[in-house]
Amino acid sequence: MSSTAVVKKNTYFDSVSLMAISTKANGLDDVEQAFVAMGTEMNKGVLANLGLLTPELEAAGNGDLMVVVEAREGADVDTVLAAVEELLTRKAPSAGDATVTHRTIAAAAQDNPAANLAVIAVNGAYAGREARKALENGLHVLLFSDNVSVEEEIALKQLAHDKGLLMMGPDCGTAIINNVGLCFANAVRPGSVGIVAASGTGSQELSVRIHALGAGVSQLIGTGGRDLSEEVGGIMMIDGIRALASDPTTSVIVLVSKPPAPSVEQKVLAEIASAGKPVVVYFVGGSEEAVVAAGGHFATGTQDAALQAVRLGADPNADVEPLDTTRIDEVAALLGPEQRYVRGLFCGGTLCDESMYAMLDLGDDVWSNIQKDPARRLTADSPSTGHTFLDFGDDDFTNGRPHPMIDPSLRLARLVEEAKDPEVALIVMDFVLGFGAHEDPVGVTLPAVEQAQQIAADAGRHLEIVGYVLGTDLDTPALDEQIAALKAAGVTVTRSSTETGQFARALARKVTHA
Amino acid sequence: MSNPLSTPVHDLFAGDLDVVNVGLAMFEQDIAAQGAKVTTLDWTPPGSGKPEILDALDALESPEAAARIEAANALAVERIANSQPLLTGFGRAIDVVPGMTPTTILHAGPPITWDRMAGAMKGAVTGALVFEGLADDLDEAAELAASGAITFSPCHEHDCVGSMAGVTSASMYMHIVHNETYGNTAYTNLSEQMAKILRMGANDASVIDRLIWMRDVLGPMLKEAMEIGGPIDLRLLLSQALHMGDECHNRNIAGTVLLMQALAPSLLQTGFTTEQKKDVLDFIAGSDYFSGPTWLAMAKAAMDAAHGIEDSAVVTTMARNGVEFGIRVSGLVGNQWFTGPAQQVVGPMFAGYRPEDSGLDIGDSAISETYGFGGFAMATAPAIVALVGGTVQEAIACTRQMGEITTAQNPNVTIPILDFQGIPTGIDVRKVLATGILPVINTAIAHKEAGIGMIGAGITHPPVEVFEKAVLALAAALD
Amino acid sequence: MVSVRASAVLHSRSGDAALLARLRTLRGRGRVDSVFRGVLNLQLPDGELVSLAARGCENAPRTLIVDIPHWGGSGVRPGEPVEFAPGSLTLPGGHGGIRICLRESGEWNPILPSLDQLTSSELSTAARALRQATYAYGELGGMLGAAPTAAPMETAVCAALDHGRRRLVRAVRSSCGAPYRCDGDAVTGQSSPSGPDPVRRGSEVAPTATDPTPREAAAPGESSSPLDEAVLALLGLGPGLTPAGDDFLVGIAVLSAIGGSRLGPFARALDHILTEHPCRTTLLSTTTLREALAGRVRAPLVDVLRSLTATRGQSDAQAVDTIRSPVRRALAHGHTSGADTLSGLVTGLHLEKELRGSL
Repeated sequence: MSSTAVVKKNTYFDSVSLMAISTKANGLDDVEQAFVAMGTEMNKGVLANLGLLTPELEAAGNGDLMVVVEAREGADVDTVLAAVEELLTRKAPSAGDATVTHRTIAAAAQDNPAANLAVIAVNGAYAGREARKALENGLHVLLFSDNVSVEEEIALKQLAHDKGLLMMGPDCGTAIINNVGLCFANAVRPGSVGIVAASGTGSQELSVRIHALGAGVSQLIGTGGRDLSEEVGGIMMIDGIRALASDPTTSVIVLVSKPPAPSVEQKVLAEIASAGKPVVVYFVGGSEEAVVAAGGHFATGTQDAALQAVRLGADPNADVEPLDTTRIDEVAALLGPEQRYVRGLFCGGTLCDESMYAMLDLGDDVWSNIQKDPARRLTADSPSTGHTFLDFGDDDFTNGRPHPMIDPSLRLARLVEEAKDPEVALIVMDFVLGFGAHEDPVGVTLPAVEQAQQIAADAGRHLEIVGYVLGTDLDTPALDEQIAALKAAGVTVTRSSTETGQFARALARKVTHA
Repeated sequence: MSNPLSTPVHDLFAGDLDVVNVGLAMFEQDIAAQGAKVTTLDWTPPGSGKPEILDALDALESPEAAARIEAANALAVERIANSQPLLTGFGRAIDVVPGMTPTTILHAGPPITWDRMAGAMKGAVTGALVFEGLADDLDEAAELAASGAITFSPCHEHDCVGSMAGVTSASMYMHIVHNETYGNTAYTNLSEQMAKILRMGANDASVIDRLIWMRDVLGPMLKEAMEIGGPIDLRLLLSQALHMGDECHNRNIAGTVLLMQALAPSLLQTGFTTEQKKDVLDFIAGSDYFSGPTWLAMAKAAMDAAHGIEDSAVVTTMARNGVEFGIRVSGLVGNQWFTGPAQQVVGPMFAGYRPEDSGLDIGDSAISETYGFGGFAMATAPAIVALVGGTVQEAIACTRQMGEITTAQNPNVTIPILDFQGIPTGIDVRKVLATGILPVINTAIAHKEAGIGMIGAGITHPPVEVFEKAVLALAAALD
Repeated sequence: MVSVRASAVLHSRSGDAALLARLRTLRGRGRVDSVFRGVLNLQLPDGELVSLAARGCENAPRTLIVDIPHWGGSGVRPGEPVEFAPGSLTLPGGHGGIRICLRESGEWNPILPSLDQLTSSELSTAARALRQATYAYGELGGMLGAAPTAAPMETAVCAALDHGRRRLVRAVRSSCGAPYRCDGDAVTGQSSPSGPDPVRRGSEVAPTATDPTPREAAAPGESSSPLDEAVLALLGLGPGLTPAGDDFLVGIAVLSAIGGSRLGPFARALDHILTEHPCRTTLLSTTTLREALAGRVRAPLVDVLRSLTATRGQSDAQAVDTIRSPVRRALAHGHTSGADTLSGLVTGLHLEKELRGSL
């Protein structure tokens, strides 16, 4: 037994306090047992028999209070002693410190008239109700929760529209309001590019690219993934465009989403025409003509969208370096003849989408859990085939688990599995930094990367792994450290989501047409 | 400074972000780290997550229904706050209480039959029957009570309130409290002062002898004194007592001194002997609780004035009979009780007693909290914060929390330490369920068996069922 | 502005008559020994301990009840000087101090009942009833045994206390000339059907044949008797401000002071030990034990003793009813102190009965 003790010289507690101290000390996390008694000969004798008599206790006099504490295995004794010491000296806080924790949005809003936005992340069964309360109390809403019915979503967005409030979500994971990132967002500098996005990681990537080009973001308004559906009708996207159109800080607007339902696309494009500011549109996999006809600027990817927006709104000379093909040639030379396929393992839905669409340029042997073509759609259980792109953030994978940005375990297991496949030439992964994300997404993946490389090496193959780190120099952990760690592990690092897709496509073209 | 062009979105973009965070605490840190203000709620699923309760709440919160309820609630709290209850006299129950008969026994809480009564209430009933001369001893009284010859009825259904067992019989003297603003009257009997008393279930000879003395000396003297001195404004005294550190439910020292101050000159002028006057003054000095019942009748007079307002979700009665806890709601008119099991009272016990000795929550005294003092005004009474955890901060938090389930603050009764904000008034059943915050009630603890008496004091809460039933009934009444 | 230093005046409502008599003439400076919410302990100029209890406390030896709700916030601190003058004493704290006036104090005399009119079997009944009530309402953790969930240290201390009790019982028996036997009454703890688990809680008077002969707690003295050693094995042992073993000894000591008691040898041994080994326990315990030997204990214990005499001629069940209320009040003292002292009374009553039988 490792015991330790506090001796209080001539300190008096009444017996009820003494009892309370003893009970509380026994209840401390790292305390195995605690005993409070006066320092008499007999009491010291009992402690000696138990092997608990320290020199300090030995020296206690009959008027001294002994607090004998046996710490749990592995507990830090100093911490335990400090905790016991605090019990002996604790004073009640004064009335002036009284703060109240509110139970409801209404009470919080009434108590603090300056409150202007609610972030709501509760079970879907209650989410709609809480959002309505927030709107009724004049708060803009970011509704992180999903599993809200489409009827409820429409009702909420209509209510918000009538009140002139933003209703971001349900299922909205990212926003930046007044340069404050909410939920999953990156630290970017303030600027003149306004974003309205139905996609979380798509908007994160956009904001990060804009930052990398030296520009900044005025506002990033999320709409939730279902906003541009036929039923919801783009209420939030249209309100978002209008909000940015009348925002003096915003000089250019970027929209990012999956392609809208046709009727909704018309409404959105009509809004572009009347915005009075340049609008860049990236509808992942969408078509150019309608956008251009409406006076919008069509973007082919997130990088292109960022570049066009920065050129239109901040720096006409902004540019990015083209893909460096020397690495592709090097890798191609290392691969065996059977190694033809790309496997993409993504946390970010839009990042997965963007790489998948790049690959679809080459042909239709592209499989995914987010494929539009049902014939080539995979489930979480199905093995990879051909070129496979998996979005681990999709419901099929998350089903009851935290998002892969927080819990990477499924993706790590899949990485090791893919390495065993002799047909795999390239594994592509994204690493998302920022608020709400894992504290070290690269570090947590590296052991699996090494294992994958070892498996391939043991089979006499080279396995190329490409990683893209979504983040800025302002994010925590630091972007350059994450990149350096990947490079040190032999991972090829790409510089944007778009370039990630380009790299995969170029390598695949090279090995299949070689 | 209102800009005609300003919209909520402009205001958001132009101002500082100030976030209410609901559900995930991890977002709070990130937001705060970026320099924005953020408040995270202590959120629990409303209606305890029961779908039928959520549906009822949703129905009551539809804009049309909500507007009607808000208006009705506003009227209810206006009537509570504007009520000016005056103590106008004392009189025997048989002479003053509506519906009283020589064989009627009024009791605390919602209706209950003899066979289901708690030990303390049975003890008080048998004691009262002996006191009234209806039975020679307690055994005979128990037989009489069970015989069906006695009419049992809740105090609340006779414009009365009764503390603890609330047992009120024909010849007991009652406070007469007239609501000057709205014209109604409320009644309650006199404090027996000690721990071993009828209202706590004790019923031995000393208890009966005291009741006889109260009937023959104390009551008549108080009655005469009021005839000499005229009405006393109880709301004024209550608000002064709160400023002096009472919450007027479990602490009554200031209120008793104030009431005594008001009564003393006229007591002196009554025609009783000096010896009798000294006995009465000694009796009053014997316990700080003397004014306790007075505040209950005051609250009852105000709450009755707020009962029966169509659509109002304000609670007008919380009362317990030791077995069941019952509430009445303003918009559900008449004597509609919503009941659930009475709860344990948690708090310090007198020496030698243990929690398992205590009877369940009992008494009409929760009319205090229904009005807004007692547990709702814990912040005024630093001396008894041990009841709510031991610190003044906890007492203040308790009062603030009650603000989350009430409709308004009563400007006529204020709390100095909270910058003279009014006591939280008008419990809204919808808010109770939406927040999951139950009203806090300060109360005494009676022994679970008949004949023993008070053994401690503490706090308790109503069972959540009573609010659920009320909300379902309110939602049903909407159609 | 002139700062007015007015001293607050408090009145003593009642107090130990012997102490009051002494304070009426005492002059000098003592000091504050310790400050609790309910009680202030003071040292008289000669170092003896006296208590100032707040309103609502019970009368006790060397104690004055002062008309103050509690001492919290009085500003009185340990170590500060106390001025004694005839008829009053002045504490530091507050503005200009707190003067306590003794003029109106009622006098309390602890008058112990005689147990002579109880027959041997009535003594047994009283002891059984007291034991039953004490276990029914008392706190575990001291002489009543460790709580079932207690940590090893508490269990070890309770085992040592139990051991000490057995040893004391044996020593008292032999030194007072009791027959070396145990009858049904003496093993109440194990034979009473409604009693608690004897393994967990021990018994007041245990069969002696199975006891080991303890050596480890031998007193440092050279010529100590077995009774001296037995007292030393309990003195200062156990949890609490007054260690549980001391409280237990108080229970036996007060019985020994009742006229006609056969526990004289125990009283002499305890007195001897307190004189020879002044540092074995706390000053508060020493003082309380000395008072108990003089037949002076707190009022609730006196009430318990009185109620015991009222059990004369009653059945066990009636006896429990008779003593329940005073027992509960006595148990409300300290955390386990009340239970420990009553446990001492139970053991003392059994011994008294046995020794009486030996004559």
